[in-house]
Amino acid sequence: MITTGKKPTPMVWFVILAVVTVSLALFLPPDPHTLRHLHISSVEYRIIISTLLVPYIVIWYTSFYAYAKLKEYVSVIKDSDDGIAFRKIKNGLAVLAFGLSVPTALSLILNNISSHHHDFLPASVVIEHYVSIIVILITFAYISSGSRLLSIAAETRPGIAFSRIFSLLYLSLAAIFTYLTTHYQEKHHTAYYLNIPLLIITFIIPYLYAWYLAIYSAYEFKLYAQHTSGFIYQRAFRLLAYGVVVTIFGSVVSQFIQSTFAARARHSLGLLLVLEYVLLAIIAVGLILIARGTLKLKKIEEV
Amino acid sequence: MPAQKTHNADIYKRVVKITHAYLGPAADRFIDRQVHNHLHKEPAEINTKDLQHLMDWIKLAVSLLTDDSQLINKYIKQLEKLAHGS
Repeated sequence: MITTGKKPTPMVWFVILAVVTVSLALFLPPDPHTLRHLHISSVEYRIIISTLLVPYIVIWYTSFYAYAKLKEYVSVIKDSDDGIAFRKIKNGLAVLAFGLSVPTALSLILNNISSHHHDFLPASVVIEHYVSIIVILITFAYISSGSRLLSIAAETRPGIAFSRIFSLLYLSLAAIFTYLTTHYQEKHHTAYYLNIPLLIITFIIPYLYAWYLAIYSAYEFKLYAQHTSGFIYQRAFRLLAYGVVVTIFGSVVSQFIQSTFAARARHSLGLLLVLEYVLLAIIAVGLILIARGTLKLKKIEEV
Repeated sequence: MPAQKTHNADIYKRVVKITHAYLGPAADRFIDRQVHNHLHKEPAEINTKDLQHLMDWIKLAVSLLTDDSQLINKYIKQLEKLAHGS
């Protein structure tokens, strides 16, 4: 059975979103200006867009699969103390799974509208940025709530050495990110279609806050994996924890590059695409580790 | 008999405590499941006589979770010590 009750399962959602996105790529009329610029026909354009979507669909599959496995595990341990923490992590993964796929479909629609109505381009860029920010804020808020509960359960808190190194590295990241975004906006007013105060308040600060939650929670996962009791449980949880850490690393680096370098790298799209695929592959590895760890944890609850 | 009930509940707690070192937060759920499914009792009702039967099921279940035979033997030895009252 692929559905439980009336609610579609995560894998059904994956199929729906993949079909919708590929259909949009195949059936939305391409921008005539782009076709002239690239010297290709509309059929060739649709084939290229569909091919470029393949790696994205693979990562959507891994994200919905990891979410599905965690959902199954949470349904088994829902009444226990650690069940609350895992439920929050599961919710975070759900938002991540939908957040990886829905914005791509939305982006295809918005780009298509703005290619035919050029006045819509600023709104399209701003909507895409804000959707991305909302997704990562909710994702990392849920995951960090879960990791916080786990670290409380294991009575482990980050030590002073971590706090100092983390503060230094994080402040450096924040300074570099703020410099890159504001500097680029000052030079190209159409980069983000936001003035500097709005850019700082509604773009830079939310991103930095989400990344703060993400990096801190990655460390809490590492701590819990090191200090939780139970040799067999610990081995299974480590896989999940490494998966979360790798996923967070891939997501943060990908978001950093997309929000700082993507706009200015229009002339080296190939390089940008390769970099994006490498980061997607890293996120996919993280999600596979999460799924494998969750399967091992679930097995403990089944024997 | 209240004294017997307290003794049995104590055995259950000690089994869970030993198991905690191997299965962490999943320990109490694991033991509850083994007792319910194989001994058909409430977990707090298990007594020293049930332990041998329970150990057989635990050994079988844990061997499905790990290939580490040293770890399994260590776990079972700890339960055997409890069964023999030491």
